[in-house]
Amino acid sequence: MKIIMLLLSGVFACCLALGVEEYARFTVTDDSVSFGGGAYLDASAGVRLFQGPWHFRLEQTYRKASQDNAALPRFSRNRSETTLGIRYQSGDFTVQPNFRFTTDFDSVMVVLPGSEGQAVMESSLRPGLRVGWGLPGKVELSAFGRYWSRGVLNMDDEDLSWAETRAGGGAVWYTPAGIDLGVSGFSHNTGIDGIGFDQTYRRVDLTASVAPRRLPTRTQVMADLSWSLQNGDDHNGSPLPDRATARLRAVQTLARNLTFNFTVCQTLDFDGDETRLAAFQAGGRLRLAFPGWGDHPSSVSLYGQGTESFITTRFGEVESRVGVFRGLSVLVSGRVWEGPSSIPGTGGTRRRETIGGGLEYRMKNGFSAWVLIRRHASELELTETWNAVQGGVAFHPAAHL
Amino acid sequence: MTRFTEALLLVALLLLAACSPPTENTGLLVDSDQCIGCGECEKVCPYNAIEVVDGDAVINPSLCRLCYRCVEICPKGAIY
Repeated sequence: MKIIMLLLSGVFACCLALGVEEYARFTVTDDSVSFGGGAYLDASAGVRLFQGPWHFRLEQTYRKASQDNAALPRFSRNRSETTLGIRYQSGDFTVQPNFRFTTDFDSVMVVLPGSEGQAVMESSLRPGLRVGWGLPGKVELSAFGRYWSRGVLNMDDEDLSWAETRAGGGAVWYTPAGIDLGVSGFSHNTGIDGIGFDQTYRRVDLTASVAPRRLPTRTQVMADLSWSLQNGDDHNGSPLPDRATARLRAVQTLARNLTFNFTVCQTLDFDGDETRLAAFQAGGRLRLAFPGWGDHPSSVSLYGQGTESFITTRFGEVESRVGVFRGLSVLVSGRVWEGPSSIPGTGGTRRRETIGGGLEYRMKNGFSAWVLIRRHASELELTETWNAVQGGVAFHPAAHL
Repeated sequence: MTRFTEALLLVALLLLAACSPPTENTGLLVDSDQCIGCGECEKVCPYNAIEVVDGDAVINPSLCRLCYRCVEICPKGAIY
């Protein structure tokens, strides 16, 4: 696929003098240091062509997961995915047709809605169209439509005719007072003729966001408020509640190369006469950027987050990339996560910890290679630990005309 | 902090205190600020209930059955 895309990009570039940008990436993630079971292979390649008002994008990804001898039993689809996107912009008018095609390998089982059992997922086609229009007075209008045709077969190899449609639109007004006001909505229908399932979900969002201009130096604050009117049922057949969301984001530059950003968000549900706390989230990130000793910039980042809804999650991580010599960087990553568990025998929640390090080498032509070795610990029936390796190569050359 | 801000915070806290606790009816939320559109959630969902659309994961609440696989796999903690 990559060869075809490179050939196509070459032909187009020669004939029409288009701008070309391409990339390729290949990653292996394994549950053990010696390559064995529990391995994930991810490969992706893409090309972007652009000239004047036209922008053309073609991407291909591939995922293969092997679960034999895996340290952790996981579900993952083996699939190939092709995405094609085109954008045409003329003045304030934009048209974006897009198309996605996925093929699932190894007879992936999906669970049907209701109590209809399982079926085999084979493929999915998703054509879509988005149109945007900028009006005088800083008003933007948009509309979109999307259609899914999923190839899902029951145990007798009969196609269940699973199709979904989503259509909607919206408008945003960037007011002179510095407040952005928006209204948007969509309707999503899921129909599976083979089991007589037909459900429609509609939502209208009213939003307001403001970023005060008069603040202390090196401080940025942005506040959002949204009201969502929902119409439809959840998987239990209960009506979806209306929802209000308030979010505050703040960024404080502590020093020239040190920033701290903070987010807090609260969601409320309005379910008939009952007003309910829905979800709360708070997170903060401290990031230090410095030149390092190599060709590429270095950074260290600390992040912590907590969420509370009918489930609770806690998440903290440290990530750093420090250039040591020319294109060579040292990578360090650590992560602690606590939350709900889908792994049998864990009692509904589990905590996992990962810490490790590795090396990355980036060349000036856009080629890079990396390897990371991590130590994992996870609460399963007993707390288990194992070492894992991740490595990959990538090619991200700069755009050329 | 101005008196207006203090009063606003107090009203907000009183309102929150008067609310009932969360239930499963809320479903899962995607924080679009944090979502990077990597598609890991989509690959682990056995219900076809989540898909990346225009760079953000989108949950179909009528298909999601709260198995939490997407919550566990998300590398950014963007689903909760």
